[in-house]
Amino acid sequence: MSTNILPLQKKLRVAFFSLIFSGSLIYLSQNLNLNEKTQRFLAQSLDVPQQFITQVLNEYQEFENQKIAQLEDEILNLQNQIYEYELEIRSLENSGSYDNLDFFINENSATYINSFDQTNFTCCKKHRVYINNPNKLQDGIYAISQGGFALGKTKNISNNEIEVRLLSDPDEYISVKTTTGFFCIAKGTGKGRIIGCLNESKAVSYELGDTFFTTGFDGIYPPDLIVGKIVKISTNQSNIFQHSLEIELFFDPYKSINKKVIVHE
Amino acid sequence: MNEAIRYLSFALLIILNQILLSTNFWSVFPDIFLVHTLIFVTFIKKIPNIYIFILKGFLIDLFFSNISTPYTLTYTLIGLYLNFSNLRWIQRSLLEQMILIISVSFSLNVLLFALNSFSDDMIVRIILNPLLNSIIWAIIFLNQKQKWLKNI
Repeated sequence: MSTNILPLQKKLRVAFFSLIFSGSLIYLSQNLNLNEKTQRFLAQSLDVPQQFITQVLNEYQEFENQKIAQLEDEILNLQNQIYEYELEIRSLENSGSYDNLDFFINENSATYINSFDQTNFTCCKKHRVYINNPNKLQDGIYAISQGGFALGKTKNISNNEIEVRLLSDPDEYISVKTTTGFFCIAKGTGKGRIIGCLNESKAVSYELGDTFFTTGFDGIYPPDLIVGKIVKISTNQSNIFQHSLEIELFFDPYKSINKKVIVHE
Repeated sequence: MNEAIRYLSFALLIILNQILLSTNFWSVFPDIFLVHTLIFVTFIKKIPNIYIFILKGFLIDLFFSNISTPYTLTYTLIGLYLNFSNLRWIQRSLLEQMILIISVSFSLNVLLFALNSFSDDMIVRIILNPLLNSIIWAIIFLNQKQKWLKNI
């Protein structure tokens, strides 16, 4: 690269002519509408390769999406399997002396949870899940369990769907017992996964972590379904002989969607 | 740099710039035409005639601007500066080079913004582009300085 040392007069002349030249080009392109024509030509020239690239990219994206969908399905299946195995493990852990779990094997009464009313669950102490009604059950009250775990009772039954009121609903009652022979009627507290019962006799001992089972006395729940375990024992201020027990339910509605449940007809 | 390669690379840059414009990378990309010009004035033995610069700017404007002003005007100024300068471009200090690149890029982008409606990210480009151009040039210059200055 080299430079020429130009005299000032020549510099001025070159600058003047170059500005005139630029101005003429700008004027010409404006008058002949050259910019629009050139840009249209460039867009048309690149249109075919652009379409080809777009098509290739779209096909690749579609292929990737299919793979993702396939993997998601596999993950969902595996998650369901894990959930089922966990249920089995927990039911074995908590079965204690009760091992009468025959209701597991009645596949005809099995159905799936299709929705959970989360809004009313959090705001309004209305604890509901909805299950499918494949056997077209008619009106009646049936106990619902998930594996060996009590879940709640049917409330409204339609042709396609059954509304299930969970044990934690404030309007729900259940007769429960421990392996040591302590019995009580537990009531939903309206708090997620918590039911409570009162004990006045203290004749039978119990402690934190004890598991509760259904007694079957209410005629709705079959006996020996697993309900939950004691998480809190408190003494009533006005009656020192009375204990208030908080029982945490094993069934978690937040993990319940599309999971298998059993209708005890 | 061979003439044919220079023209071919310019044609490829037009296609690349069109791709950058159709994607949203244009606003965060250095001005490829300015960088190309800087590189080619470094490699060629003799600075081309000023009218070559004007024509190059005009061609870029034809393809990428609604009115043939921003690049034509900028390249006219670049051509005048390089033709009238007593020193070679790469003999100038890096600071001087960077200041010139930033001011030229800034005015070019302001003109582009005033005369066109490329994208919503134009403000980003006005700020980012001068910096990117100068950084790219600084990297090239610092890497090649010894080799270039040895050959002068």
